[in-house]
Amino acid sequence: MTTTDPHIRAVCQWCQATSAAGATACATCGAPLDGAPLHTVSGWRASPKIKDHTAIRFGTGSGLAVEGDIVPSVELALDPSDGMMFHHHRLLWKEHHLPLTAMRTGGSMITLMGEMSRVMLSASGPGRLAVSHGQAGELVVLPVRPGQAIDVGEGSFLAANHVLGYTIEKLQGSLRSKLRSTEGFYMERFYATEWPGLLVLHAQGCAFERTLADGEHLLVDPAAFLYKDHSVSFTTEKMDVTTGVMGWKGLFMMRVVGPGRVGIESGSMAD
Amino acid sequence: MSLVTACGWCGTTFDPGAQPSCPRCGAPAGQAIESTHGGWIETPALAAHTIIQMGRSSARIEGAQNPVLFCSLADGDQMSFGHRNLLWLDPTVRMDSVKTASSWAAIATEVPWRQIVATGPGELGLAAGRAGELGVLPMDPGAAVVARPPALLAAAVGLGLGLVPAPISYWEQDDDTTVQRFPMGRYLVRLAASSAPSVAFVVARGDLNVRRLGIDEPLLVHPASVAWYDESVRWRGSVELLRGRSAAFPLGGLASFGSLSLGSRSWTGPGAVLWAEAFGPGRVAVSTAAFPASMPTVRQRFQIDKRVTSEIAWD
Repeated sequence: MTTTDPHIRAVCQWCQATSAAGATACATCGAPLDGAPLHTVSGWRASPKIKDHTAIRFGTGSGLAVEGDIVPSVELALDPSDGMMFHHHRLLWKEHHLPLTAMRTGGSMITLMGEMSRVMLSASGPGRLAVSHGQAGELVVLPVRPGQAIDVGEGSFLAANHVLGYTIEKLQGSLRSKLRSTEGFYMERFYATEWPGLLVLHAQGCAFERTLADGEHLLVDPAAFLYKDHSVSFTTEKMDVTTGVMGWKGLFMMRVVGPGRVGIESGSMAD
Repeated sequence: MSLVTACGWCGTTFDPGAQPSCPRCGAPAGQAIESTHGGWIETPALAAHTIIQMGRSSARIEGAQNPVLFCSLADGDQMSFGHRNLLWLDPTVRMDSVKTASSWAAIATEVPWRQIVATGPGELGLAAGRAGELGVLPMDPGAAVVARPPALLAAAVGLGLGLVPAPISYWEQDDDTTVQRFPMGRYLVRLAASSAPSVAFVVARGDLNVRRLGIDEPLLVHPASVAWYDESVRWRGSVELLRGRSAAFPLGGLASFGSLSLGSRSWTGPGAVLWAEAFGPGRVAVSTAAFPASMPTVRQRFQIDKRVTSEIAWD
């Protein structure tokens, strides 16, 4: 058995996709293939540190390259039949001839009331552009398979290819007044129907993921919430803990219930 | 016989057996300069303990995410920097200050009113106080670069510093008031080497990427992310009208400042992206996180769309 055998494939420990034997990074999500994922005792696993210059293929021939370590940026090379969507304020540079199109993403009142950008842009190839989140952290690349849907906390979405569907999901009730974060009023949902897609998130600080079994539940700080599978449900709970003067109890947590994955970030905790 | 190598970043020749990194810019010896497919070059990642030689003086770089510059100044050698960047200094170092901006400019912008000038002998430590990549800019005689003031960490002796107005601004009219906006900042710092080679130290917000532009080669970048550029680079502002969001421009397109004519009030909704358009020749360095600047926010952009479109006067 040699690594030149085309039947031998390396399996990515992060997204389970296979790459050519001998590859140093997963061709689907960019995770390094030369190490086992780090699991904490409690079952969280750190998202893979995507190395500088890692290239990821998607669509019909487009490429995505991760550049930088402190505030990583994503350089996109779009094939003529591919497109990418992103929020307008994430743009870093673009080629002169690459046109941008504004996508309609729902009522303006929804986005004005939340902290979310009103403008989702779409760029169609051929051409190159780069996007960056503008905060120190790391990238989380999530392949989205047909039938799969991922809910993303506000402010964490960086880019997704155009085969993914997109909706803005309003959270139940008046959660904003309960959550100590000023963000988190809405989630962005990305889903794949017929074709697999690619979703790129930016985690402030470090990102961790935990897979919950059916019915398994967990309390997560709302400000640390990064993403979840659509199959994961959640409620908001007021903790019976005094956090202020006069016995004020102001600590709220998200109770997330499996099955599915939950992602958190370490750098966005409220002051 | 000694072997010498040419630094892939700045072209300086040095003996890699004697020094692990380029003495002028700190790029590790033997490290190929990698560019992205889009033509961007990442500033070389400086190894810990990298030493930059500045004549008889030197600077040592420590730390990666929040780098610190440990300067060892020879007797009579000078280094200038903003007072907010000073971490510590030896009592033997003499300190003075020179006026670099009018008090009005200092109030109106982030430019320090006076620049500290430290004179050796002795050591001092400088830091930007934020997460960001440190870039070393060797300057040959006659060379000049323009930097965003928050990006400039320090300049060695021999560099002339002066403020220049930002090349891009626009007017935003809101009911009775008219405000001039500066998406690249109000003033920039021009660094010019006079008769001797010198060096400047810049700190990005996040990572620092550089693009070399050919003659008249255009490039669209986020205005607030520009960290520094060669003085030979020319700039103009551009507004990209998004496809499908403008009755006046149904196919979208790019309109440059000065030639923009937006007379139609039927242009509603979020419909434009503001760009800084660079033209070569020269280098443009961009931070992956934006510097503070007067950029339209989403809601300001909404105002622009709704009310100010036809009243915007572009420089």
